[in-house]
Amino acid sequence: MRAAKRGKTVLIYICLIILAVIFAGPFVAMFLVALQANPVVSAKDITLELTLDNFARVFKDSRLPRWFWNSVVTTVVVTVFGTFFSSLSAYVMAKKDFPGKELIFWLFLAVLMFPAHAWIIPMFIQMSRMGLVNTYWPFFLSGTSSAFGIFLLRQYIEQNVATDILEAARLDGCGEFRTYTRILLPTIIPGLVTLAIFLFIQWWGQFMFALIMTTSNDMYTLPVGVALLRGVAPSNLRFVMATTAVAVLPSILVFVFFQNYLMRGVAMQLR
Amino acid sequence: MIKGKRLEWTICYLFLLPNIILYLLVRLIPFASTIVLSFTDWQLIGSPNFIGLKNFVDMFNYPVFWKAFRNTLMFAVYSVPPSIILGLLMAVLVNRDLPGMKLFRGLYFLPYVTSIVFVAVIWRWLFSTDTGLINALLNRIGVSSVPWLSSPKWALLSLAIVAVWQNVSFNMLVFLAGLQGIGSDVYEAAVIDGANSVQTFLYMTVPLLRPTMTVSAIMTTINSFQVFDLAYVMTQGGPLDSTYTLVYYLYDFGFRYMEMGHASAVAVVLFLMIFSLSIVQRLLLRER
Repeated sequence: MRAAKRGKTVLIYICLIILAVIFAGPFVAMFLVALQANPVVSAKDITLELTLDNFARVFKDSRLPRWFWNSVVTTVVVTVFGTFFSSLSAYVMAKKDFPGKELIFWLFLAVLMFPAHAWIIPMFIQMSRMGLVNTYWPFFLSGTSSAFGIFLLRQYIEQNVATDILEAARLDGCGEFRTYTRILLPTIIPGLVTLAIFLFIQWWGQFMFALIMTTSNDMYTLPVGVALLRGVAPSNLRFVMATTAVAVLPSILVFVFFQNYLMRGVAMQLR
Repeated sequence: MIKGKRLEWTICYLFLLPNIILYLLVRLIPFASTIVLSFTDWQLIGSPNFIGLKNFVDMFNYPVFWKAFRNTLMFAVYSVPPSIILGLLMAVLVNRDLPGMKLFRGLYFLPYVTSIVFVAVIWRWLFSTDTGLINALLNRIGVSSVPWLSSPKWALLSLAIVAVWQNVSFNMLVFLAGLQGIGSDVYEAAVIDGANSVQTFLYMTVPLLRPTMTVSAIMTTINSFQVFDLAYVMTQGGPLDSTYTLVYYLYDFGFRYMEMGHASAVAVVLFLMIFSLSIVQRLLLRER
């Protein structure tokens, strides 16, 4: 019985390790190519002669620093304001009653169902008329409201914030906005972090939207810049992989540090 | 009292104001405009003329539209069932307390947090027929090279493999949450009754998770209908249009040929496909 149980545990670990190779292997391969000291044309050229020079090269000789900066600005603004605006709406949707609440709820729900292609053509036309293509504004305008965020936080507030506390604060003479900043926000920090991570990952990787809203090399975000690297010769594979590795790294770091929050958020998506 | 209520309501609307303004500006008005544009021949210059259903009639007469339509459906057929089934099996596998389990779950989740574009760039090389890593490994164990991305027969399937690789951990996590909701007493009862692990999986886990599986399948299908990034980066819709999808068609007409009317018509068709699935999903969620 004990032996059978140990055999089963070993089998489980073998499965776990095979899966780990499947899911993490491509990233290892990416870093391995990015670190190659000699040009790589095919997979057979990979050696253990490693160097960090490729990273220095792509930072010096390509537009990577600029793309990185564009990605940082758009993602950070969208994440901060997206979380803030969502928490404002979620608060009153969860804890207040007012005329038109149902209507507004349905409006948000409808927005949640609109896939990007359903609005992106007129939005592009509007942005180009206003001269905002190739600026950060399309990202700010489009990203800072998140229907998913409103639903996530509304649910979080309903489950974790007692109405009594808010009432008590008001009886103590707190105004609505003070109640929101002093009482509500501190109690929903885990929810805010979860949403912020979602927004970060979503906008760090945003592709089609960025491809359409930017046409100049200087305004590309990382996904667009990396996707359009494809013109380069195969012998430059290690530079392509070095650029991709730099682009991937921030989302991996965010994930490593906030894994628990992210996983909780995923589970909430289906409730 | 009435006055106090008014004030409170006003404050509520103020809280909602940023979202409402932005939604009107960048979602609802553009969405309504998409529908209007789909009945015009607008090409970004000049003024739009109302042409009734001509865009839709044209579209349904273009063989390349049907090609894109078929590719999109086939991509869903290739990618959704494996993503659900593997996601479920993985959830069962990782749903236990063993040392290092958190690390494994984290590793499986890496592809999901990585932008699909970066994933596509990596896999474009892994799948490269002559220079890629996967064929090199296959050759080493004596298997001849597979034309992953260079053959029209394989390309769409290869993209589906990458899509599953990227999103299966999302489904794993959803099912894991479901499994943890079931509770161990049900399983203990089954084990006492002499059920083995395959039996408990087939006759207990699967039926208990069926509602979650349905919703998850619909979400995965909705996402698969919007496939574009993978095709754009890995195959540019080729070879021979074998990975040309509906969103790719929309992108080409709207942002390369500047046929805004025609592109909007595609957007409407795609929206209807996705919207009907969303409605089904909402209804199922409500039933629960």
